[in-house]
Amino acid sequence: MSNQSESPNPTSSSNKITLKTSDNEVFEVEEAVAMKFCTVKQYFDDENNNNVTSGTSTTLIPLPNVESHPLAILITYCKKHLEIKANNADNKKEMEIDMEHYEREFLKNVMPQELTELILAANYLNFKEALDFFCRAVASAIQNKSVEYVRKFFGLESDFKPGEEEKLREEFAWSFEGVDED
Amino acid sequence: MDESGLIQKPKRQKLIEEQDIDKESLDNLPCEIVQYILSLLPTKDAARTSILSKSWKNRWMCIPNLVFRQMCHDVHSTQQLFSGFPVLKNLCLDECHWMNQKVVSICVPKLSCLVIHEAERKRWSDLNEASIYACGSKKRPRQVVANRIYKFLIGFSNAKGIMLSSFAVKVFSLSSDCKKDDSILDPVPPCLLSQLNCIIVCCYNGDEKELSAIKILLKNALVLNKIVIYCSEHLAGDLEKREKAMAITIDGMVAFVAIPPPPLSSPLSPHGL
Repeated sequence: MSNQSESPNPTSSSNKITLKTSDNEVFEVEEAVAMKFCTVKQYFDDENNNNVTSGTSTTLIPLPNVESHPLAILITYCKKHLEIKANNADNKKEMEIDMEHYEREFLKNVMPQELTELILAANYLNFKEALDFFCRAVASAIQNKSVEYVRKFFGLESDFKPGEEEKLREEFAWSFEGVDED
Repeated sequence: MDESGLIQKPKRQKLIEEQDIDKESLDNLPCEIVQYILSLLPTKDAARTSILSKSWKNRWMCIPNLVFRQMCHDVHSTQQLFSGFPVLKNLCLDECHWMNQKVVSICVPKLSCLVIHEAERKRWSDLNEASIYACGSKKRPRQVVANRIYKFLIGFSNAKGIMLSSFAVKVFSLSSDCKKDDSILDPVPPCLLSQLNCIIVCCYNGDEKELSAIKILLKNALVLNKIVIYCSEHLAGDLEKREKAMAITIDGMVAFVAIPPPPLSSPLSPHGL
């Protein structure tokens, strides 16, 4: 996945907004994309209110809580999201089907380990659709998986005293029905 | 947006830099997101996360909806289960095996809807607005069902409205425990004396047992001001029977006999989550 923003589209009338991540990467994104990030939108609106005279395009918005890696993924997701929405403006069902299809493909390129940082980034940016999508992805990565699998893929370690875990496993024996083999 | 958040060097970023390896850990997620993720999971998968680590032990208990399907519980684990959910609102117990438990007590302060769907297609439920669905089955004697429904009703001391399937109604006239010759329930379930002001009966067939059971209910529900009776499809098609059924508006009580019957659906589908 490219870390750089796409080359400017001369036909587009929309403004570009520049986002600067915590690791000092700069992303130039279309306004429509940036406005899906509510945190960015709010900042942008506040800026505009403070500075009505500024008619020119580029605004640099710092994102000190977001690294370039998740941001690049979120931008890609967001662009596709907007595109699918625009393509099916009058057919909600078609849109949902397309979106589902895209999301399934999308997840093939995302490691479970990446989901945490994607969620944190989407949460900070207040990008609701992505946040919901990644949370659902985590849920389906946990569903029917063994405790060991979930620990391994989501960086968790057991800190129970010897015997404690066994006791819990006994207590929750009913929850192990239908768990997949690792 | 909180602008100061942008200007300040945030703490979280530092933490992430320091523990770069743990970046992917689910432990980094804010509580409300973890709760949201847990709420997306089937109950048993959510429960299993309690074994991940100490910090996860009680997290799953903070979700608003729980559905237990076809699970076996012994007395100890059941009692622990049903007394540890501070924010649980909807609880659905679908065909759970109770392993001969005599008492199941549910202590959930915020519970507003309880649906119990028992094996052999028998179902009853709720609290604030109770609904009890019960279907007869060959395997379970009606007497047993009747006694259990009756006991269940006694437990709903605060129920203001109650919905009963026609079978649930019928059992009132079958239970010797709860009916003497004078058709006074003994003891009268407390909700009938003080709170219950609306009874809805579903799938009313208009047979005699149902009729006498409804009369028993009317006699015992002291503060009742409305009873709505939905016909079964069978009765809706039978004009003569229907007229007879509508004649049960007695003692100044207004009875609405509605056609067609409402769907026997509960707010929480056992299969939906």
